[in-house]
Amino acid sequence: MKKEGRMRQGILVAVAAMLLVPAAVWAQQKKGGIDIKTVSEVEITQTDAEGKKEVKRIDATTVTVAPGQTVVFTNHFTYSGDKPATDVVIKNPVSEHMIYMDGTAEGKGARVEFSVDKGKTFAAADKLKVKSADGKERRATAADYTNIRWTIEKPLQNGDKGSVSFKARLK
Amino acid sequence: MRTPATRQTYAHLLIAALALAACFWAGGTAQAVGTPAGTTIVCPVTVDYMFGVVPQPTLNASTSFVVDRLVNVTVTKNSDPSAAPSQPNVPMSFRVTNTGNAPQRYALQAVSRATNTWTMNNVRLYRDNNSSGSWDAGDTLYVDAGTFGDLVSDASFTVLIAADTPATVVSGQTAAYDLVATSVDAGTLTVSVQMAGSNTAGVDTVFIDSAGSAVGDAARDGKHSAAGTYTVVTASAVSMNKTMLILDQWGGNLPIPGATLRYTITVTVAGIGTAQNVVVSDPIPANTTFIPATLRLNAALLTDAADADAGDAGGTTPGTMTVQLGNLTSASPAQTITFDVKIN
Repeated sequence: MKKEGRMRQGILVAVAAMLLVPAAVWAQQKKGGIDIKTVSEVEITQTDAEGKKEVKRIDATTVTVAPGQTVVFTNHFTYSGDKPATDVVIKNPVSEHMIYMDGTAEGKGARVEFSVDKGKTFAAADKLKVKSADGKERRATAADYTNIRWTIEKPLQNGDKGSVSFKARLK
Repeated sequence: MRTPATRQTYAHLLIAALALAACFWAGGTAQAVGTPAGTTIVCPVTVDYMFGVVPQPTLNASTSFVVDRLVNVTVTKNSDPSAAPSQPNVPMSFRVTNTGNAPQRYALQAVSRATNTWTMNNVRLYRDNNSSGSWDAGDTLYVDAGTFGDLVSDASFTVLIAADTPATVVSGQTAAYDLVATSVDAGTLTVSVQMAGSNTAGVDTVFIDSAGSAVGDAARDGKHSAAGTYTVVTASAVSMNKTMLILDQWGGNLPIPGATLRYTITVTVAGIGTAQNVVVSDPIPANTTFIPATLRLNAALLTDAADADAGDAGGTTPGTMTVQLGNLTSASPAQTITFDVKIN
């Protein structure tokens, strides 16, 4: 997406609001003191002039995303407020057409759990079980995960920032 | 892919969960070649938190992107045909499969290999509408990429090269042809173009096809090809099988004087082309005598004299059964000749 002028952007947002249409690829909300912004990105390895390899994350809307591509979903959060925010829980579904890639869910100071029942129940990866077609119970694999949940272990104080993320592959 | 549970041992909750999961995946329309181009992938996030013991309203945000178009086509050869001199419409069968994630159509071309020392005449392309592998009047003649319409992801059609064999070729000669399929944008006659570098928020096009058999068919060029070979076969193989049944006058099967020997000769034709004027000649064995009015062709009685019907007993060549079978091909039914002789 091209950057628009500020005036133009303002008009666009106003029009979008009138039409009750989401205005941007990512949505941002400021409510109750937590800012949440979520992005989908693709990792691209670039080699600089000195021959060093560097992995860059680029917005998924600006690169080719075709079946087989790995996409990184990141939720950035910022907290501002007088009193601490407690029991902060961030939840993502694994989108349709995507397969969660094992071991990629991460977040500093966050406990990661998964769901295999569309978010009804969550548990640590090693505790999840699914029943296969023959009725036998087996340990859930990454492909079974339908939702991911991060529980921020410490209360958020004014000015705290962080992010949680996971990777998934486009089927 | 999970299927809804049927065993009674399943807890109701789990059945509900699995059913939900099945609904969830059903939207994916499990395609081998992946998520269709143009699909918008949305990933919403929710945040819940509390101030002390007071739950705060859930926060929502989401991110999305559009799946780009992978152009991939696979051509495979189904058959290496035999061709008889002057044989018309000799089919060479190929399968063209859309292995990309968006509907495509294909420009097709039959290319004679530069190494060929001869070429087929009247080379045309058809879609094999009944997948018979052979050319039929009902097959659709290829004109341009629009003739066969669009192929959705994973779909395929059978394409025949139909060509006439020159009269001058001899057995064992070969001619190789490549069938080249070039990706064309669905609903148009515009050859698909890969977007170079400039990625957009919309659907971009990327070629991921493999290199094919044809000269110049490289990987990632939106084309694919496979090769087949015509081999000239001129000789039809005529095969004969002869059996004998002994019927003695006492109801047994002993070869004693007076016993009847019933000979059965079966003639079949294999291979390409026509075996012309097939004549079966079988000398009556020594020490036996032909039993009149027992010469039969395909169960129909033939007269013993050399006359209008197909066979005679000693009329053409003394002491020899002669049956004229005419022109036979591999499609002709087996020809069965029987006659009886008596042991002297």
